[in-house]
Amino acid sequence: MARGNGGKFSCVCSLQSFDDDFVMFSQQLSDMEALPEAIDEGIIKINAFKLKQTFLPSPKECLSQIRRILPELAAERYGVFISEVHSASTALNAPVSVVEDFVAQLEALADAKAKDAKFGGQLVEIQSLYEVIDKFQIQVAEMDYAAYQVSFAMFRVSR
Amino acid sequence: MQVLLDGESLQFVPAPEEYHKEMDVMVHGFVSTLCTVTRLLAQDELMTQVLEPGMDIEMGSSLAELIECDIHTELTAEIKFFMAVAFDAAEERKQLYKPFQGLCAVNHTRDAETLKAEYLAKERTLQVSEWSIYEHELCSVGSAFPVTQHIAECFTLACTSMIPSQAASALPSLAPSARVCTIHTISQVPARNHSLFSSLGFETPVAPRKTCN
Repeated sequence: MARGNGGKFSCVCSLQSFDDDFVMFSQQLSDMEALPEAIDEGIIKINAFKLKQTFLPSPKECLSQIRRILPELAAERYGVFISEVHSASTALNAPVSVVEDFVAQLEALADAKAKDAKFGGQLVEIQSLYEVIDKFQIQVAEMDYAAYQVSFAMFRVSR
Repeated sequence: MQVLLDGESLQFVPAPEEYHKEMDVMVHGFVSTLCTVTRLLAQDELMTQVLEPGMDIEMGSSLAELIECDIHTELTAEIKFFMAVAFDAAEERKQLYKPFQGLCAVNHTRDAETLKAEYLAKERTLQVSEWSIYEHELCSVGSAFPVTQHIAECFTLACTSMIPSQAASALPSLAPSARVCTIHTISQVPARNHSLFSSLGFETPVAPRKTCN
């Protein structure tokens, strides 16, 4: 999929490209809004009002897509992250009554340790997503944001 | 007149040709009015006659034709000149709007859902968090590449350029062993492996070599 960058396209889709695109579309929008609606040229008056109205929805739509996608990506990533953390947490907190339980819990502990870097990476990504969301003041579901904030704090403490 | 988007180009509405037609009609009407003037003495009087017609003095038809021909030609040439200058200037002003037409066309090709899917797929492929899994593999199976700190750093750099937002913030905190695992991760993707190694100036090694203790 081609990507927009100053009217040109690259082939890498990353959080940085969403960041760049948001800046680019914001610039497009302000440039279009600054276009004159009428120009006097000698005996002719050029009316560009309708033309501006034709252009303006384009960057607005692209910005609204990014505003919609980023919270979705954050929520999606958070969902995967919290589900894995809960699984690990459940396995670690399972009651131990027999030797098999103890062995299973040791395995769960080893697994959790092995996944520590993975969880850290997931959290870094989610944090980066929310940083971009905050940077551009994108509206996000309050529950999603609160869940992320709580989990982020708890995960840091638990590590 | 309006400038509007018409298909892939910007057009003036009404078109300049319409103005030329209208101008012809106006000039013709003006000259016809002049020809009803019954006495032609001086320019001032002529204009008075035009503004206050009804003076009852005859004018020969040949003189009327002469007036019509001269005035029409002169007026038409003069007005056409001014119109041409104005339309040329208008055409230049039109260029002001043209880049935005191109931007809108490019924006139109943007597919949000594809971008979203692409992001999820790409970030997952290169996710820093998955390196720990490969670290385990690396220790048990051994890397296919002779790993040096230099190569590891080159790969770190390569990955940083692919996912800057994520890698840039995560890489500094990674242990050296995890960086080595990056190489192993990339080595699992043959198509990318060769080009990446080549782009970094390394020959693709063939002999397996164990790198972790």
